[in-house]
Amino acid sequence: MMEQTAIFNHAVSKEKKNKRRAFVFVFLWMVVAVLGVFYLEISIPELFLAIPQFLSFFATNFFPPDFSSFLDVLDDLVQTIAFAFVAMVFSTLMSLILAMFMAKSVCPWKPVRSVVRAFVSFLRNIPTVIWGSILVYIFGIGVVPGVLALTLALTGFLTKTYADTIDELAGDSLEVMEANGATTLQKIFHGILPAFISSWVNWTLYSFEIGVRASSVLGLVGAGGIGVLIQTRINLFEYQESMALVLYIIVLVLIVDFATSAIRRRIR
Amino acid sequence: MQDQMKQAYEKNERAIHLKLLLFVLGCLALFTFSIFYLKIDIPKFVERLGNTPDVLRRMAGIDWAIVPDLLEQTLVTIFLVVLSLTGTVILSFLLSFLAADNTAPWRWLATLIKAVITIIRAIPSLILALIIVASIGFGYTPAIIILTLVGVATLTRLFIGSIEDAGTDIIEALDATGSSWAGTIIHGVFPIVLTAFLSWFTIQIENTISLSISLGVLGIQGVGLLLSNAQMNYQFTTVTTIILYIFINMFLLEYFMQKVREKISG
Repeated sequence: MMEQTAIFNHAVSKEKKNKRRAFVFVFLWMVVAVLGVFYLEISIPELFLAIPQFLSFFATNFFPPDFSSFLDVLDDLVQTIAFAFVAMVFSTLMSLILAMFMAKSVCPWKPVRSVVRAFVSFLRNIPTVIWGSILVYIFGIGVVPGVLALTLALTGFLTKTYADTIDELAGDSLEVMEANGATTLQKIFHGILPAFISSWVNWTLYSFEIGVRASSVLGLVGAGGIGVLIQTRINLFEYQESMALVLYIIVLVLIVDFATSAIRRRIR
Repeated sequence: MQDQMKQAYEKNERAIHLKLLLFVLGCLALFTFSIFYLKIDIPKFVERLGNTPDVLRRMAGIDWAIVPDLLEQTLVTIFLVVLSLTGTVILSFLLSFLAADNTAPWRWLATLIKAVITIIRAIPSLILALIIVASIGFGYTPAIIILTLVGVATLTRLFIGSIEDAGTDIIEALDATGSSWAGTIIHGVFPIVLTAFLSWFTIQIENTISLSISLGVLGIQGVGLLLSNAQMNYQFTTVTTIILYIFINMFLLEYFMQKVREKISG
């Protein structure tokens, strides 16, 4: 009886502790928010007015979109996809190799794993556009820095995902197979590989989607693609032309979205 | 009988292998096409590669003078992120319950919200930033609008996923007791999705900070702006310092957020 009461009291006090933590957190958050308003000299009315202001400017100036430049732009659109594709292939290869050195179940040496993990984290934590601007800085403007930047960023993301997947898969199915007396080769081919492949296809297609969106933006730092076109149009006040370009990107992204979903389904 | 099953299984496996082969071949073909299309100038790249040791040597070094600016911009970033996330969380919370299949009170509204979100998410965030800046100018307020807009689109989508995962059982149960829509949400669905929501929130913190750094490249605000300026002035060591600073921060952030996430689900 005493034990049950103790357990009950413990559970209740834990809940109380969580509630208290939540309160403290929200309170601190509000304090920072208020400090922020003063430090950044934000005027709250202006903040709320900004949205309707933006929408009205957007609606009047960016519409109707001017599609006349489609043929000129087609080249850049294809370039955007080509970018993403090349980067995807390169990063897939690099990521597969690196993931082997990062997965606990494949690489038993901790120092090696840690170094790879740190390196991959470095690749992943720097925003893609920053990579783009660094590489353009080193290599000059052009297509290659853009592809490199995209590859590095994607590798950062994919390696971690692959390694995590390998580790996850290794656990369950290997045990089952061992229990059934499978040889090592059988374990790899029929255990890990099939499940990994479907995950692999999934993540690779997803990285392609990310790549298409990122490559349209890399143009902003001089690395090629459609981003720089949009920026130029806007700087020249040609809003309607730029809106057409934005719509092209939206359509492109949606198409890529559909295509990758379709491919995903057929591979299953 | 078993032989038949075995044959069917192997046939299926072969079909999958074939599809996979086609996929890989298709990728290789597109890849070759892309390389040629982009006119990747290998000789020129190799030549530039020769410059790299020189550039790297000039970049080796820390510019301590920039640290105060970095710290100040970090403070700015923190404020921007906190302010925009406040709006993001409130809006996403409301919109997600209005749009999820199992909790939507009006079907048309749910579809509308989902459609708008998909469109906003289809626009790369920096392009969206360009448009907003063109419309309402530079400065902290536009920056907050950008971060909030992108944040709402992303977070709402994540929230909706979790709400729909929660299923309809609890909702039916509470409806049967005569509960109001708000009541069902607050007492029924919300406790179930709370853990997931908190995890998404931490991910959104990381995303927002990453986005605010990238905004600097457009000349808007923050640490990215310092980087951009340093690059334009060819201040090599400054660039290195800023890069390292960005990395250390993002790394610590990711580490810290991971710990928080473990605590949430632990």
